Amino acid sequence: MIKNYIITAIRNLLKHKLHSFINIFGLAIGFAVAMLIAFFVRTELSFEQGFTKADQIYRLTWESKTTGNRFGTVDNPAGPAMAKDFPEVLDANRLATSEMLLSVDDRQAFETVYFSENNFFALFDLQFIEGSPANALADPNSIVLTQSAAEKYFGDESAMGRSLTLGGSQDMVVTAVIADMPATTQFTMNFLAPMETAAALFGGEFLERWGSDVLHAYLLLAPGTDPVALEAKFPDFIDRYMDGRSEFISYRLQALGDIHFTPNLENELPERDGITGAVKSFREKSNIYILAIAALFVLVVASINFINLQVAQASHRMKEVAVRKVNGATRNDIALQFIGESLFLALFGFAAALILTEIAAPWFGDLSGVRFSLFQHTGGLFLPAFVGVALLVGLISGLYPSLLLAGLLPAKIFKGEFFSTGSGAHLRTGLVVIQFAIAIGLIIATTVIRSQVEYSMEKPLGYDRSEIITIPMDRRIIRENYVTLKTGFLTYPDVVSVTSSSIAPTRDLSDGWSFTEPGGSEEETLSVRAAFVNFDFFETYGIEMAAGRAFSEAFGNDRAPFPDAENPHIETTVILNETALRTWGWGNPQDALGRTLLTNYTDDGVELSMAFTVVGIARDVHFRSLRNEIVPMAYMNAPGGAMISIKTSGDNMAGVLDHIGGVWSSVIADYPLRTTFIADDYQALYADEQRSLELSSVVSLLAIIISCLGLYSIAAFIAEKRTKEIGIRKVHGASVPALVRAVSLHFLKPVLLANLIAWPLAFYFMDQWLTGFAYRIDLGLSPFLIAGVGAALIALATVLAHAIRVARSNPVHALRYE
Amino acid sequence: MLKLQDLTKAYRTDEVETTALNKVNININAGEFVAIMGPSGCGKSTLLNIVGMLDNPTSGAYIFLNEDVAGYPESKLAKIRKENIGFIFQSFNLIDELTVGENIELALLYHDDVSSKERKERVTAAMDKMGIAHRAKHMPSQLSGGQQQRVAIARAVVANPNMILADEPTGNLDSANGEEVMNLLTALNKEGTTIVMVTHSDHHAQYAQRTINLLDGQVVTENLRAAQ
Ligand SMILES: Nc1ncnc2c1ncn2[C@@H]1O[C@H](COP(=O)(O)OP(=O)(O)O)[C@@H](O)[C@H]1O
Ligand SMILES: [Mg+2]
Repeated sequence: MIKNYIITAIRNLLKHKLHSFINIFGLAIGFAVAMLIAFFVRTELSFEQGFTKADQIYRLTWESKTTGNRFGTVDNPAGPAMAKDFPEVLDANRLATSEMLLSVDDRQAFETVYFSENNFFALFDLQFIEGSPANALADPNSIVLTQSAAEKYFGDESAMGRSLTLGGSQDMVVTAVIADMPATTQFTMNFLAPMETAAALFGGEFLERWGSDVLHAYLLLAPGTDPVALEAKFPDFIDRYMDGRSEFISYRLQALGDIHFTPNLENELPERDGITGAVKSFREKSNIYILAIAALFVLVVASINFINLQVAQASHRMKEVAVRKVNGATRNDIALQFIGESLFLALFGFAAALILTEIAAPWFGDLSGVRFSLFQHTGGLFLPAFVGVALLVGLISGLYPSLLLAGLLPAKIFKGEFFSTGSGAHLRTGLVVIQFAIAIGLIIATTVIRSQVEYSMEKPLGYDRSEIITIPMDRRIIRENYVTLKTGFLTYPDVVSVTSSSIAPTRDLSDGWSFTEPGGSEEETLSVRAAFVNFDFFETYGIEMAAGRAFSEAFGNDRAPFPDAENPHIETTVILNETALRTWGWGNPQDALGRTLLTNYTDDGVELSMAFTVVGIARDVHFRSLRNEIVPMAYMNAPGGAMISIKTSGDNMAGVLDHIGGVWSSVIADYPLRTTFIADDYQALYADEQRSLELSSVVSLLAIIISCLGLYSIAAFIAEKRTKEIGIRKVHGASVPALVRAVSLHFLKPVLLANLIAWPLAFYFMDQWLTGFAYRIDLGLSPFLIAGVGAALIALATVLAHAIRVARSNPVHALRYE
Repeated sequence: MLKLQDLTKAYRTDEVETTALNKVNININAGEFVAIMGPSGCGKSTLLNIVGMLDNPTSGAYIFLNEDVAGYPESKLAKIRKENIGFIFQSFNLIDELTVGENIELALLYHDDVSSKERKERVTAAMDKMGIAHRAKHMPSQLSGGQQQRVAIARAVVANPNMILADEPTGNLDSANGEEVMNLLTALNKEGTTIVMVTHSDHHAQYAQRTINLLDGQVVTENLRAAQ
């Protein structure tokens, strides 16, 4: 009996080849998408969960009360002080990262080096290949390498005991080799050296300096500690170590698992793994959920498709059912046959999906940054859950025809038209409506996301980001030779201008700065973010002045040294941004010119003061992503800074880079040149959005494709059913265009209905999503029209082919069907 | 074998009600060969469907082997049907996706007491008897109408039913093939199988021992064939 069922099933599949293919392939695509995205979501949600003590570990972060900015680092001594002061803080570990020149024999390269303390491995259990956690960082000259790092520098030989040099001077010995960082941790660590080494390299005192925040601090809390209750004790703690600072800053605990989902902190860990090249983007959790929902929808669309097609297909088989019943098949026999067949088909589709995931894995890996492998990542409930869904889909799609046909008397089935009329048709139309509603909703969502991302990428940011090259100034020799370099760079015709600054667009903003007004009280401070910029900064970045002037060497007062014991009072100039004026209620830019701002502070018991005359008001600039609001800023003229920025004409870029390299090596011996483009950095700011966008575009495209495949198949089926009817109509004079119109309208109705359902829902959810952006697009009608009209057109094109074929066919031929 | 008492069948489609059978009383004894005749739409197929338990009557009694099956649910009818009745249709009703052999096997498939070995043997025997053994592996679409009807007959007899119902078995066949079908049915009847056959052909009705004439859902005459 089973054999007979299988034979019939297979021959039916082969008889309706296209239909079967659409059916299985549609389901396979749905499952493949759902599995890949489920894997991606699961990976994302499991960040840091591999560490045994993940639930107990929190990172200490600080927040500026005046600007609202939040930082991934904290005052350098805060971690250990907390471990000392609070019994519930069992342990504290501090971590710093620095990009350093690393040399092994005569090989040199810049690498991101992590510096941490002995207890790092006590908090974060990592897998040791050679060496042991106990003494890996015991010696100040010790360094731990990941396997990839060891291979890069030492090849197949063991790296243990080998030496390398950091920053050109500090000799280190490899004391341990650990496995590469898991994909699901925010650490992009390949080199780990003791904090003492950082102290030796950067000056030891900084470890104990309050008010400096270069270190990340991880706290191990006692089990059961309430982080909120602990946070409540932080203001007193802050004031204990930095008198009165709690008025301006607060400390916050960040659960280890949340770090990955907090994309807009400043002073974050580097996202890029310098050895493997993997990028561990911080992500917006909402983007992950959007993807998860989109994937779920595709699965639903594919399942509906499958069910719909199976039901339609069953109607081709009414005669078979009747004949089987005439020959003694019972209700159960028929039900079993149909359910079994659907189950088998669903599982077949699922198997095809597994193959598709393997094929799509490399491409999906590029898109999502997460590499999927069927055989490695499908443990636990992953596969059983999906097999369960496949079985459910099979069951439902087999159940409907069985329930409908199995209980009927054969005479009724022989006669019956259960599928093209009555409940069968209603159910099918309902399912098509749901399918299209989902597909349309997904297209609207994708269009809105795309518009917002494009808006972000193209919104005038207030500065020019094209054709600007930056070079980090991370060594004194570079800062000391800045003028020589600048002059050298400018000799090339395509180099337009050169500047240096403490900040640059797309990078983190620097620390806060406070002013008071002359005659105002000491308490009423005006807070800004300070930007230390060299001459030509505004010209290089094309930042316009709303009033006044930019810094210029023609004004001696623009450049002044910081006050010290010998010169305790300094007078200089400052340029503010428009937001500062607005925040302070200073009226229009012209009126602000000439006003004075004061900064007084004490250093080693000496009272120092600076008086700034406002000489310019710069237009607002979106320094970071549009997720961040523009904050009050003060530009002060200072040499040095973090980077050199070079504005070029955009032509002959190879020549420019060549020239810069030549100048560099003639001025700075034995320290390699590193250049980046601001435009690339800007792209990286939106990497997460870009990626979510690409993924959800693909997903919604697939949803539409599956829906249309389904519609195509259903249309083919109905067209066939109506062949006779149409033949009779033609015999009685109906014209081909009239028939095509009638058949097409029949199919357009569900698509129009789908729009009615999809539009309000999509509007609501996309409006919610957009509230996450400080600067957002308005939801217009166009995404809705694009999706609605697009879906209708595609559906129409799909159906039209059948409609025309049937309407044009010879009526005699049509009527020959019995 | 069976007895219909005041049997009525009405079809309701939307507003219109058609009385296809109106208080029909018929007796058919075991071993009889009965022909049913009448103009198109008079209720012949409806009658055969009810006799074959493919459909339920609206009212009246249908006594089959001393059991009133008139109100039986489909599941019970299915059981009685598969143990007692074989069917032959005008349009053959072979399953297009199954071969000749598999189509014939279908009639034994739902009989749990028949082993697969026995099934094979009986299917082969039935095919031999109908002269279609060499077509066992062919699909129905590859056969002529006469051959298809022989397959249908083989399928109807392979489970050894007590009764065979044939609805215009020769309707789609040329006269030579029609004649051959009639000969096969007669042979079956000789072996003891009760046969009820709907036909439009007076000539084919001559093969039966008794003819029942229907008109507008009612029995108008019954004539026994004069000469055996
Ligand atoms: N499923 C049905 N629904 C409605 N009316 C039917 C149905 N089957 C048969 N009829 C009607 O019942 C009457 C008898 O039909 P039928 O038994 O097929 O006639 P015959 O086989 O003698 O040509 C006809 O008027 C026919 O239209
Ligand atoms: Mg009839």
